[in-house]
Amino acid sequence: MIIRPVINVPLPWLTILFARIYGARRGKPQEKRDVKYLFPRTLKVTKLGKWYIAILLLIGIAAINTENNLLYLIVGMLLSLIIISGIMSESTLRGLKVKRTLPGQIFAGREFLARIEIRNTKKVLPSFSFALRELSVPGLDSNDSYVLKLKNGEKVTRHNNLIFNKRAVVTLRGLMITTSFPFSLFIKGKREKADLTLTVYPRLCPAPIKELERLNSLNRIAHTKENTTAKGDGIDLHSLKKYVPGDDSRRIDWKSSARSRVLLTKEFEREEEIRVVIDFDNTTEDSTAGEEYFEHCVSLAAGLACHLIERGFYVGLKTREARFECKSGKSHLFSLLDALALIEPDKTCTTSRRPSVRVTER
Amino acid sequence: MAILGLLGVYLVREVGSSLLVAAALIATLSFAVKRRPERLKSIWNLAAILLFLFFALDYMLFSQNLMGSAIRFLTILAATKLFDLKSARDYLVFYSLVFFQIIAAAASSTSPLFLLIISIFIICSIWAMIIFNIKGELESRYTDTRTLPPNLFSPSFLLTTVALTAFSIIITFALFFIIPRVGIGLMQNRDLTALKVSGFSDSIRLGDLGAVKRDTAVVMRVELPAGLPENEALYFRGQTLDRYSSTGWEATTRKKRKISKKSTDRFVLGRLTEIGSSMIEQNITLEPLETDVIFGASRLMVIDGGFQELWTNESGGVYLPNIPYSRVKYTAISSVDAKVKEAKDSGIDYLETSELSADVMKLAKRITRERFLSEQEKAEKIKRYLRENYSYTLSPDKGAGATPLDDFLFFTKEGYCEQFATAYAALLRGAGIRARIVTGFLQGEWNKYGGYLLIRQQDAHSWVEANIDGYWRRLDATPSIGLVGFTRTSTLSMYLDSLGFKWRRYIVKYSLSDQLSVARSVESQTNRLSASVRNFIASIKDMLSGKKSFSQSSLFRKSSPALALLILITIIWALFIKYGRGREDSEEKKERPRFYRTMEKTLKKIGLERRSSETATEFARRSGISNVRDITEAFESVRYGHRELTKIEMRKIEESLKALKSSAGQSA
Repeated sequence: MIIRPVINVPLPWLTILFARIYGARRGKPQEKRDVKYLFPRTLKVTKLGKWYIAILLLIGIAAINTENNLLYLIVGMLLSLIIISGIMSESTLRGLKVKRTLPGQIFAGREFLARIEIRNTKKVLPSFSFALRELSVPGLDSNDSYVLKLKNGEKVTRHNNLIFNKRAVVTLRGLMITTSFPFSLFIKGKREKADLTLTVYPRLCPAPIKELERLNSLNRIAHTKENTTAKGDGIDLHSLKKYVPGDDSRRIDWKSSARSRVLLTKEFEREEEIRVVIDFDNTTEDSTAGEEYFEHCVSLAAGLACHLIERGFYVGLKTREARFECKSGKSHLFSLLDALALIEPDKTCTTSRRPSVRVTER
Repeated sequence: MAILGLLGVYLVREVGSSLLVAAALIATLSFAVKRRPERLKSIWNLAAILLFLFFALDYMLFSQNLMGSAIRFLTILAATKLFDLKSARDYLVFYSLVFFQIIAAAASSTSPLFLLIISIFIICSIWAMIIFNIKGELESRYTDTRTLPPNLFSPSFLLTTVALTAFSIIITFALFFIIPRVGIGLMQNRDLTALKVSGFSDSIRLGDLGAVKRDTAVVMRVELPAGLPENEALYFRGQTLDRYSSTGWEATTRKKRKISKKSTDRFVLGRLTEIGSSMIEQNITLEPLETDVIFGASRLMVIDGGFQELWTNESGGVYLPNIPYSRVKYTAISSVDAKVKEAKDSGIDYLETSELSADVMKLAKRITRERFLSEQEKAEKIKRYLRENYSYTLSPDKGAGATPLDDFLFFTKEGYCEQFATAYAALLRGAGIRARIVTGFLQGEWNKYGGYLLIRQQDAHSWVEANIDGYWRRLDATPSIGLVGFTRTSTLSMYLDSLGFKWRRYIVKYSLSDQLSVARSVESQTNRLSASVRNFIASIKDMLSGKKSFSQSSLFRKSSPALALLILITIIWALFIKYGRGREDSEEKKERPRFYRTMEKTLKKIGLERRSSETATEFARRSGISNVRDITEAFESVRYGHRELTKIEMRKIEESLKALKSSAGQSA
């Protein structure tokens, strides 16, 4: 007897599947996709699922051995529950849209919150029991947040705690929505693409107390010595003057204005520009301890930059490759931190010196 | 769930009703007990171990039946587990126990009630597992959460799960029919209890059949593809007995020779020339009886049932090599001609009267004393005599006769088929006609719902075969009152029986050959469908090319399946558009209108792609194409200005797109 295949539908699907895998493996480097996320969903079998499959196989073997059709019926039932599980988990994941918001500055070793807004765009069905987690990237630790139920058309906000272990320029690839709904047999995941490149600033290491005292004393001297009457953008009050249109309304001193019944604005003293340069000698030692020390130095430099700019210093940065002018202000701080986030040990240096950080006055 | 488990166990033969009642009581008690002390966990564990030991001993020392002991253990364990349901894990353990109870039911029962149980189990398990999943998630995340939040499942969700359950049952059956039956049946459960039947062994004692005449247990079901014959009742012939002793009958030969196989599974007894119009085909499902006899209406000619070998003798009895311990299913073709010719040199003396008393011989002579009576007339006279002078009863008294036959003929004068048949055969022999006894079944009741004959123990019957004018004829002296069933089965029971029969036929006995026939029919259906699709396409082509007009084309005559398919695909597609991706698409549309997407696609062809860090305006500026700038402007007013474009604006955009496409085509 010749048994011919009745339905030959799988062939085109197999071809597509083969083409996708082959395409992902052989694609041009810039187009190369992550094989892990080749398929729109990821699937992991839970412990309960493993038991379930083991029991299914056992009953299957028993059915084959005994030719008992009712056991075949039970095998059919168990398989159908797997299919139902697939459909229900899909209905939970489908139509979920995620928007993630991160804080502006992220420092290594410092925990921060990612705000995630989840929207269920399905027409009819709610989504049940799913968790959201940042897709893993090297150096990132994160917890996940859980949503028990999200009705159709509604949105909800959750916060994930994230922490980066080291400074780097990192590309977050998106979020993974996972669910073990409905039967806890499988954990199905859906990757929500949300590429975001961000710079993780170095850890902020407090500078040695001696050094800080020295720098603070510099600051004090500057203030006492410089008790000039010049007006400027400092923080100490210089005088009050009558308000004229065009003056910064934030500088109006309301109490004095009330007393004198005339609008008065504050004028500040000009501050002395204390110029310091953080001299970071980014040489290297060829050892693990050396690497650690280098990272410590980067953190120290970053800590110093923060500390000094917060106190009104004009801070420059000098490394073996780059030099930053002495400037003040937040934006300058971030450009310094950007540079420190990317700094690498200079391996061209022939003398085997330890990396060091010094603050020199200008 | 607990009830479901108990129902499952109820189907298992090894479990007595007392155990079930006990388990039900324990289960009920568990609901009554409200306070659950913390140390109950350890008590339950201890109880489980003790129960296990108890049933292990039960298996080793008493029952020796692993299945029985295991099921009893499971039943009590599940009932006691009801006392210890706290965490999600406890519930899981309980569901597993119920599941195993159902497996036990599957392994040792063939009742159609199982269908109901498994359907309810699917519904319950889907719900139980969903709740287990959510409870488990909550327990793992929030330590203080014990109960599910209210209004968790909306009515639409409930409806969806009900639909999914129905869908799951459909898939279950679809998979059931698809899973290849490559079974080797090494450990088949051959433990079906065989019905004790009398009258089908080497010898019977008079009065043996009386015991079963009140038993309503079903013996066999006979499907008749040609329907029930109207003019004549069917006699399902079993064993023939030829030697009379004072207490009963014996068969001198049973399995004399093997029947030759004509094709793979087909055994042919009679000469094929004998197979004619008076043939009747029957599909017989024989319950396990404590006999190796194969039954069939009148004279069996062809038997088809996958038997390895079959045996027969001169009188046409058919036998299995061994007593079967499971249901036997076969197709038989019988000759229902009243007369059959047999080989003469069988060596059996059908005229032996040595054991008959002188009174019986005298009676035979007296009934047939007229001269020149043919054998046929003699037989008729004896039959009439018996019918007129003897009455039918299922509980004949014991008389003063030396043998049961004398008792019947001369003292009590009442009896049932066995006595009538014995008396008839004895008197025929006394009158010089070769005769023997046949035991078998009457045709029983016709089940109109299932289209089969339902034959019970109480339809057991015995009659006479006599050789008249060289042909063996069936003769029956039993009064007509003895030829009808004693109990009328109610419509509901008939319906349930037919349901059970179908369940066993299509589910319990579903086999590889059934699968092959299904596959063949699917193949022929798909061939028909593809032919119809081809025809449909050809008709459309003809109509378009003007070869045939609409009325001439066979569009509706030959292509109706293709049309149906087309309509079905259209409906599914429409539903998909409406409910499937509709929402996501509309969200997408709001964020990026179609014309902008078309522009992006066109630009991609010439290697211009918008970077993720780029705004639409920046991208338009970088492209340096005026058309792109125009389109982007319109896009921004739609996307950020939430403004609908006017017709004129739309036309402009269309033109810009056209120009963009043509220039892209040229540069490509």
